[in-house]
Amino acid sequence: MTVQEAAAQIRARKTNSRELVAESLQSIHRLQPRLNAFITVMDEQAQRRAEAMDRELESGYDRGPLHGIPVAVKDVFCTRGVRTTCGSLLFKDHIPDIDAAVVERLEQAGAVITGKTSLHELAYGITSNNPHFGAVHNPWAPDRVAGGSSGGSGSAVAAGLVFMAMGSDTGGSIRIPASFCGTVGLKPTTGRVSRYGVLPLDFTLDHMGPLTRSVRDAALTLEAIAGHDPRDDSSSRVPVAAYVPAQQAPLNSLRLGVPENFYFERVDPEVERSVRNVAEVAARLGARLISVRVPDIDAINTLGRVILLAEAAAVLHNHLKKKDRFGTDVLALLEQGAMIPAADYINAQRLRRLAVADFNRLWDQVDCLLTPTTPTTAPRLGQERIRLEGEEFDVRLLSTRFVRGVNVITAPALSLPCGLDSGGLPIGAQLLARPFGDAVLLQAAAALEDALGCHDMVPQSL
Amino acid sequence: MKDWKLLLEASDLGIEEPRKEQLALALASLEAAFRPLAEALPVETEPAFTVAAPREEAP
Repeated sequence: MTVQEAAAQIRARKTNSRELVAESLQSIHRLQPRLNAFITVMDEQAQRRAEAMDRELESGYDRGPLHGIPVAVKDVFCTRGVRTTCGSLLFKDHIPDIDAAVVERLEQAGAVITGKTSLHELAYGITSNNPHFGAVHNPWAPDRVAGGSSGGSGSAVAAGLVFMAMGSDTGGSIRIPASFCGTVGLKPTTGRVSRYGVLPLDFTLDHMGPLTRSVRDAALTLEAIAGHDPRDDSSSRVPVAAYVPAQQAPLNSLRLGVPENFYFERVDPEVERSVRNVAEVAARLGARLISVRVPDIDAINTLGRVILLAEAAAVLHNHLKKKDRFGTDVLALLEQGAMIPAADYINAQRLRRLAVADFNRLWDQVDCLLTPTTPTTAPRLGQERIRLEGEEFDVRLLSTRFVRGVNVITAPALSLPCGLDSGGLPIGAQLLARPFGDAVLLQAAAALEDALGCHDMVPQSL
Repeated sequence: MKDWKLLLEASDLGIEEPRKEQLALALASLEAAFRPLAEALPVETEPAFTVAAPREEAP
């Protein structure tokens, strides 16, 4: 069931928030030993809030589609009085005295937060195989990673534990788990959603967005959480649009870019076939397919890595001597970052300006760009290398190949389930649009979702 | 190319072998990819994020 469907059932008095939240909490506890999707479950707070949300609806006060709906937030979003660990020993006992802006806005919209989802340590990695809080498992195959860093959010939504879970995305951390777990994952335009109250991984690449079972659920969540926040200097004053697409919206006027270079290189053939099928479906719906050459994404990924390594090392510099508090992979990245010369970091930010300009020229030709989200489906837990086209690749670098650069260029992007591979694992297609083209992106994705029908895919292993 | 192993030794990060070797390799690989990009930068290009001028108060 989606948020929209649950909201309709609440208003038809077929269910209420107390029932939905009780079912959610029961499922979370039942599947926690198999999935480890949560670090903290907020049973009492959620039950109390569900009762309050039901009372409001009974009295005629309706906050909108998220009213009374059980959701979760990644454990980087500060929650007043509830520990916020960032998946790290550094913050294992951290109890914030503020709510993140996203938490405030979700609560203003009536959502009921049932818990804090698991993640890759410090949101700095793509497996969510966390040495301190345990590995997150993929609901489609428990021996596979859920992706990361928002792995708990992907796992929880795919398993039906909550209707929506918030993630954060610095170099693909919403879209990778969405791709591996078969959910929708939205990274909005830079500045669209406030970063206030989120434990940062870095300063200029972090984005907040939802993982959901449908595009329209992602859109209605974005409507609830988007907007200017004076507490976040990067927060935009561009007015919030109506993001929820109409049913059966046409694609007639959409110019859909299909890359000639980069995005279909070093890709599993089954992933390529599924994503190219999305293009064919778009064409049948009336979209104009335009073959385009994209800017040098390898270069953009490289400067994105320089920026992230340096900024993350700056964020955590005061903790770098406490080596026993870090997992080996995260410590290695932080130590690399501490060695980046200041001139390289600044030059990476200068190159970023050129990359944004290069992409702006592309946005003159197309409205959206279609790519695979990840070159493969979910790797096995503990797998460090992937063999593709006769070559061996590092799992982290390969899995971030198509997503990392998007954070550099500030564009909105969304991962959409588009099929299963022969092993029964989900495949994700990525759509990009020009900065502040979030509404166009969501409309195209919703039309494709309606035609593909992949949002009905449910993991059978549960 | 920089001698990353030497730079790691000189740093105060306290990194032991064999991790020093692994980090040096990772840093060298990143430098090899990044250096040509930085060398091609036009001199007038400013960073994507600059310090904003303070707003003048109306008299």
